[in-house]
This record gives sequence, structure tokens and C-alpha cells, in this order.
Amino acid sequence: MKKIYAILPYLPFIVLLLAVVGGVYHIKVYW
Amino acid sequence: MRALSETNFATEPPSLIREFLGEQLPLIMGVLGLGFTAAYVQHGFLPGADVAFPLAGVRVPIWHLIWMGFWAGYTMAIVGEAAGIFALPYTMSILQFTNPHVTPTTQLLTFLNPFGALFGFRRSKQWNLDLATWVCLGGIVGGLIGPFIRITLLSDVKPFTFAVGLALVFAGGHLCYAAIGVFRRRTSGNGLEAKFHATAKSKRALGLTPSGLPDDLSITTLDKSGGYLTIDFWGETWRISQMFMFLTGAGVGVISAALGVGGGFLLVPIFAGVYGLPMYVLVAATIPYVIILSAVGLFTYGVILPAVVGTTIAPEWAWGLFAASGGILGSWCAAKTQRFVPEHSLKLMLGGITGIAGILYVWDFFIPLPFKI
Repeated sequence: MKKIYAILPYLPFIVLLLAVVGGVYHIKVYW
Repeated sequence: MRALSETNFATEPPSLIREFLGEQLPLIMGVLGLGFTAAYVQHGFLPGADVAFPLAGVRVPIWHLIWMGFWAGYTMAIVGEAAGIFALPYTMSILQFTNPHVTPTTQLLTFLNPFGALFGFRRSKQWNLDLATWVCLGGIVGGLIGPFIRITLLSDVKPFTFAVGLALVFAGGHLCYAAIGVFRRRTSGNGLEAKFHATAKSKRALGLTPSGLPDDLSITTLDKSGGYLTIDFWGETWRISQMFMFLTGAGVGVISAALGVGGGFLLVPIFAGVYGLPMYVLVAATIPYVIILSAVGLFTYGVILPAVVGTTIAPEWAWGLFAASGGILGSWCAAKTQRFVPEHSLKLMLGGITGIAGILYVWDFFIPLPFKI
């Protein structure tokens, strides 16, 4: 549980990074 | 102290899981189910990766819409804003949904998205109906007027993109400015942000959950007479004019309903700038405001516009509902984790991305860019 609390402050940045990956994937496949 | 910390870690997750399974999961599954139903009712088939969404005119996998709702809802709710201001440019520039139907579709997302956060913040006692009422009444007026501007002044793609660009530049600039302000207040040792960091630090040192807000805090109304509202939070007091709240809610509502966003991007800087309200208090006004404004905006697009001028701009219901299902989960996660996240670095990053996107939109209006946005 302590590990989860340690990750929480960085979670928004990880999520944003994955959003960029998703966007790039969409451009490559659907454009 | 060790035993206390272990008890805390041991008891917190089951209640969180119970809250998720009891409140959030039914809501998320319900909205997701509505998305599938809406697709068949509106179009007679399920659009997605293989078949384009008829109104949007683009192909996009359903998981991508759910994911977009999640990350936009999660990151923006953490900084106290709705997903719309982030999801709208992503929808337009990455997913290539640029026709007028994008406005009510995003408004559908901004309507449903904050419900997760609403429940979460209410449980965290970041809730005050007196603070929300007047600004929400203003939002109703704005939601009735905004769609008429969308079908007149902003009916073409170029002026609409330009207006979205201006909104993004403002939102990005404010987020960056707020990030620097938060950093200054934190290091100066004054204000709620400094208290937040001091509390989180001391709790961490004791081996407790490193939340920056004490668990028993709430936003309390001290007085609401003479056209002013006086509220208290964590030993600090603010006196706010009810007329100011109403007029601000109405003005922000007109702009937001015309673009198809929630309005938090304007409401937050105005209230933070004029009254110095911190994010932990502002969410009590902005979250209900976004829900009310979006609902009235959707009603105006769907019912009032066709009745008054005969123009219907229907939302791509399935698109909005799929994105909203992810958004509800994202905004609930934000409500649960906001107290663990340092605001200033996230604001700086979100502000930078939003601001750059806005500058590109505005630039493209005057001098077309060599690439598609």
C-alpha cells in the first residue's frame, strides 16, 4: 500500500505520457 | 504510532473499494451501456474503428474514446477544471472531429464527467451549496445564450478554432501563472498551500497517509445575508458578493456553451484572482457549475435551437457517452488522489501543453500552418 502512495504524486504525469502515446498511435493508424 | 499507521493503511482501501463498487462502477457501466444503446438508436449500428461515426465523420476505436475521457477527466479534475478544455482540442486535432456537432458532443462529456468528482469531493467534504447556488444560476443563463453564438458568429470551422485557441491560450496562461503562484506561496510559508505541504510532510514523517488536508475539514457557511456570502475553510475566511458570482457564472456560461466546454477554465482564474479562493474550496463551486451549465447547454442545442431558429446540432451521443464513462472514472480518481499530488508541477505541464495548442490554433487563423491541426 505504501508503494501505491509513493506512485500517486507521479500518476498524472504517467497518464499524460500514455495519452501522448495514444494520440501518436491514432495519427499513425487512422490519418 | 506504527500501529496507527498500519491500521490506517489496512482500513482505507476496503472503504475505497466499497465506494467504487457501490457508487462509481454502476454509474460508469450505466453510461457505457447507454453509449452502446445510443449508437444503435441514433444510427442503427455501432460505429468505431471500422465504421465512421456518422455525425463526426471519423473512425476511432471505442476504447480510445473511453481512454480520452479518462485521462482528460483525471488530469484536469486534479487541477480543478473540467475535461472539456483538454478533450475539445484533442477531439478536433487528433481525432479530426471538427464539424459543429463537436460542440454538443463535448458538452455531453463535460456534463457527465464531473459526476465522479462530485461524489468524491462531497465525501471529502469539499462541498458547499451556498457557494455553488449563485454561480450555477448564472450558468443557466449562459447555457441558454451560448449555443446561439455557436450557430451565428462561430458557425464556420476557422472562427470556431480561433475562439477555441483564445480560450486555450487563456487557460494555459492561467495554469502556468497559478503554478508559479502556488510555488511562491508554498515557499513563502503563508497560505493554504504552505499549510497543505506542512501537513503532508508531518503526516509522512509519522508514517501516516501523506494527505495534505486534515480529514475532518469542511467548507462552512458563516453568513449569507446582505447579498454577500461568508465562508470558512481551514481557519481562513472569504466574503463573496452573490451578484458577482451570478454575473461571472452567466458570462463564463455564454462563452463555454458556445465552445462546448465546461467553464472551469475561466471560472477558476476569476474566483482565484478576485477573491483568492484556493483550489480545495473552488471545486465546491466549479464542479456543480460545470454540470448545470452543460445540462442547460445540451438542452438549448437539442430543444431550444430547433424550436426558435429551426437549426438542430445533435450531439454524437455514443461518442460523448463513451468518453464520459472514462471521464467519470478519471474524475473520481482525481477526487481521491488530488490531496496527494503537488499542484504546481502538474499545472505547469498542463498549462504548457494547453497554451502551445492555443497559440497554434490562433496562429493558424492568421497564417495557415504547414501541418494539419
